[in-house]
Amino acid sequence: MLLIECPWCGQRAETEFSYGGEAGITRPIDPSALDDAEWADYLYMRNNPCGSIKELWNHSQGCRRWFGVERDTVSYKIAGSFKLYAGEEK
Amino acid sequence: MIDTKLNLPRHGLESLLKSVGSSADNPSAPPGASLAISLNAQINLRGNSRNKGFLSAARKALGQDLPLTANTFHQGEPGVFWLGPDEWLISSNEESSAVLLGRLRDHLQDHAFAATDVGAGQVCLSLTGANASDILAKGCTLDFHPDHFQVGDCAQSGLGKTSVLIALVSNAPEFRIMVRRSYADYLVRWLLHSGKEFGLRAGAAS
Repeated sequence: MLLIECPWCGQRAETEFSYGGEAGITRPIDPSALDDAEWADYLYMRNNPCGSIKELWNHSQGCRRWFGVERDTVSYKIAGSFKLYAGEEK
Repeated sequence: MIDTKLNLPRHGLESLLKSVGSSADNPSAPPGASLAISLNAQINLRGNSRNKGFLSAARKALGQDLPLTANTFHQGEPGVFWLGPDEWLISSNEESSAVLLGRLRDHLQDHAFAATDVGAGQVCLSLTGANASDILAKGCTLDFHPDHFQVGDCAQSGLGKTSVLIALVSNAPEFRIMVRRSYADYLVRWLLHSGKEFGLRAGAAS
């Protein structure tokens, strides 16, 4: 089982969290300006690196906050966690 | 049946405790732990913890500070538990939710906040005794060793298959467990079953 570090609650068991996919996917400011391929790219296409990736996790059975985790998809080693917004509450 | 002081519906869990909890393997042995149910008025409060005005208004309404350290709570009347960086649980067995809500709304009206009565949706269990942490350890991934989980600490986690808020209120040790009302029947049965080997008995409801 993974031990995931919640930025607020500290290390907790993986069973307390739910997974939110790749982090850093920004919704286009004006979706109507995109063609179908660009929209499909935003909606569906994700990097699937063999190595380090930043991803979203939600501490669903704890403080229920979203945060980011940097994880290695080969070794499952977690390099660290980060809050998603600058100046987010302690 | 309605509890008149807190204006909360009473539940059938007390009779469940009596019927299931009395079947101890060895009734003459001293209990290793006891389980009781209490009624609490409970309010979920949300607001911006970086807003000093909000914090001081909440202090005036509650008579004590909101806990800003993650996974801690302030005992007292009412007790205030940290649920998230902008979310707290206020729990009282003296005042009704309506009274608490009224006071919060009076004091916080100049700030962005949300105060919601959740008392009828949650049940507060009290697990006391020398073996209490061993029983919790059977179904929870948290470390309840006294060096690690101390009086004033609380944590939301999973217990059995339910989501709970667990708080250590005294070194007896006495744990408070807040659980959704609809899961409480399951959790009480789970605790009584898991606690059998540790001499868990049903205590008097308070």
